[in-house]
Amino acid sequence: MRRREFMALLGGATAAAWPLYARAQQPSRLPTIGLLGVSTPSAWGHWVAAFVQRLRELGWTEGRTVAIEYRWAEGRTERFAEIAAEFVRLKVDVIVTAANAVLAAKQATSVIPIVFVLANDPVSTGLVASLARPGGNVTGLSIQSTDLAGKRLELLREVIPGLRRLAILTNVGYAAAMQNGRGSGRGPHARHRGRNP
Amino acid sequence: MGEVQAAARTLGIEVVTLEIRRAEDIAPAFEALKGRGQALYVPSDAILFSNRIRIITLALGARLPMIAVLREYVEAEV
Repeated sequence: MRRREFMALLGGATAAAWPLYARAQQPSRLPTIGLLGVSTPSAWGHWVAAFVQRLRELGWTEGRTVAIEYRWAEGRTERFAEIAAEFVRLKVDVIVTAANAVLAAKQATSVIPIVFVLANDPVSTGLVASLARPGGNVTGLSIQSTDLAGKRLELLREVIPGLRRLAILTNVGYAAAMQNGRGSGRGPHARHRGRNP
Repeated sequence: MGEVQAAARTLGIEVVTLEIRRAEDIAPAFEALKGRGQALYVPSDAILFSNRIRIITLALGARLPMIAVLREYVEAEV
């Protein structure tokens, strides 16, 4: 390894370790993650375990270098806003959530960073400005649920060659929530899909 | 759900929408579907996902081919 590369590596490692060290010096308040669970601890258990484990691998050990406030909406959408407001009061450092709770979190704060575990179509629902440049205080993973709709239907049609009638299971509460979310400066006609180059 | 409907239209497939608001609506939705659909599309949604075992069980019972957005639906043990 050339010396310059080695120094860069060393510098990078020091920089990465620094915030952890700095925070570890202030035991009075650990950096806090507000985890807004849409569902129940049992339904989300293995994901939360994976999240906590990966945090630990990155040097953020729960209870030592980071605190996690868990709140579970248990599928009751009216709880999303209450929990989000509580996180704002608690001044958590980041909110981690998913699905339609992201919108409630976004409405509760434009300052605290919000990371969503997954969203169906974060651009058209107004969670982010674009996939390339999300802007604002919200970011996360898109599962491109809508982009791949046609592919899924093609697959289904391969399984059932004479497919003429398809049923779709729809949570109308979710659809309504997403419609409301578009209100902020994006009319239904401003709907824009796909990725930016 | 507009995307699924648009894609279905392109492929000449008629769409029946089963609307639910809570977990308790899922079983009646399957009842209402009887004889009206040849396959089921399950979009990504927290309530649907939390109830995937219930949905898969009902689809299996109705011998209804089903496609979902996340692989956990396929991996769920019923």
